[in-house]
Amino acid sequence: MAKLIKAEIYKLFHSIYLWCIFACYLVLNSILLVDYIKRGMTCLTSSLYFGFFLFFIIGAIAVLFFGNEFDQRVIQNYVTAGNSRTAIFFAKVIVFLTGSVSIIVITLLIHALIGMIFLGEPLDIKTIVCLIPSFIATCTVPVFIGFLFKDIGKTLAGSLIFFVLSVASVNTKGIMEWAIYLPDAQRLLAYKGVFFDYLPMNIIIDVIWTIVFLIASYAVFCRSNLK
Amino acid sequence: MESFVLETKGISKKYRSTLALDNVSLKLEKGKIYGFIGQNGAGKTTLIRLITGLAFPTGGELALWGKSSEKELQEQRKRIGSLIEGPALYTNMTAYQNMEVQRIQRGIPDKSIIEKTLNLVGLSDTGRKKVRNFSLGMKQRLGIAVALLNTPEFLILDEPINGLDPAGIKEVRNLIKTLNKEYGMTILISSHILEELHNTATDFIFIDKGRIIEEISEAELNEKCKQRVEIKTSDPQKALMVLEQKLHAEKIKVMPDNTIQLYEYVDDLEKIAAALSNEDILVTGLTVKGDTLEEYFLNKIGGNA
Repeated sequence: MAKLIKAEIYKLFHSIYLWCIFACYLVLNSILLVDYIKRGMTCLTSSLYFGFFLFFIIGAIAVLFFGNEFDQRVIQNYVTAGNSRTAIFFAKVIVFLTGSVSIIVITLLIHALIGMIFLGEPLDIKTIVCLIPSFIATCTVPVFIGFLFKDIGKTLAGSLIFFVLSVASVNTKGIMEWAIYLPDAQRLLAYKGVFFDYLPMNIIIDVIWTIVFLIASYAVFCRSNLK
Repeated sequence: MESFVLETKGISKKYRSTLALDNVSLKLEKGKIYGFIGQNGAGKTTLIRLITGLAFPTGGELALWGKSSEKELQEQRKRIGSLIEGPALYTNMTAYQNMEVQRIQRGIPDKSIIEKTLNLVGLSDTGRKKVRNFSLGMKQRLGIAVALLNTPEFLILDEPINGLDPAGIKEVRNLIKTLNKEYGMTILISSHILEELHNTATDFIFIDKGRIIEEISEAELNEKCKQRVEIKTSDPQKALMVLEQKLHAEKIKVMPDNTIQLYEYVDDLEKIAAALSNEDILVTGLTVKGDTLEEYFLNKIGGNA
């Protein structure tokens, strides 16, 4: 599996799309949070709030990382080269989750540092670290969609539907009562400053969510016929 | 058995209600070039997918170098190179970078293999050009390079000359022959350009509606497709004698329906006619016959030549 992870990392560093997506996510999030800072919120909480609405950009990585690669049949090359599907699955998932979560976390860190340096806000690393399981859990949904459809168009559509449902859910009445059960909505708890009231249950839910989606993704990939 | 690269026993593949492969039993011997011939949807690519692990059989057994368990098959696939239904490439990367990804994932330590392989397919000078800007032929050649990167013992090429110009086709043909001759590589090629296969393969496998309808060697096929003169006369025995004595014909036979098949003088029918008429033999039919591979295949599957 190490050589597959190495190949995935080589590919990421020689491909411009991850960097473009990161730049896009960072710039859009930065532009949006300017308005909220004026309303007296911290840079970090504003970034958390808007990160939620920019999740479709993270979904785009899944579209390129899974949908596009199944479409171009480059994942199939790994299979025909005699690599086990288990190794292929874990290599791709590890690199995807690392890349996606890094984009979210680095953006939050940059905004938290800006807040600390320019606005004298406290550097709240603890919140960022404790939210990582929820970011991972949220990112497993596009992983599942990618492995389920193995197609760029359907992965894109699936990711967008998930995004729309997420946005709809946070606009639902009483979301704060059941936000703990939805990893993507857990950042609202952090945004409202009540995230730590639900520990460790929210992290347990994130772990369960991650395991369920990864098992489902593996199940649809390991015995499926590839194009 | 190590002498057989691939062996399938009654292998079947069903997609919902469609039976894509029906009880296919096949043995591919080491060191041969197999032409895999069938119409669209006949089951060629399905069989290739089963061999390469992209799909799973619904019945039967598949063995690579005599190994048939799932774990063993996976290990044996490291000895295979394949190009299936066109090249699978990262279009936003260069040819070298594409090869590098493949080199890393296959765990090949020697980096120089990339240059050597690119050189072999004539792509060593593409520099920083991204694959998305390559012509169809260049992509196809890069796909072949990817398949050759691990110097495979068994090379599977599904439609390898798609998109290639005549010079490219000739290069690929020569490359396949060289790989077979110099490295003893066993090669399975499917192509719609049957005459091209005829120039390349040493053995042929015909598949139709998911079933293998014939396996035949080049020599046997040539014998069956050979150009010949078919002669119908009033006196076949006398005609046979005349052809042997006057024209010194050696490759000649009389068929059960008394038609004489002569495998010489194909371009000189006048000489045959003159020799027979000089001996007062009435010639009632004098025609040149012989199938191309395409005609032979179409006759096999009951189509029109």
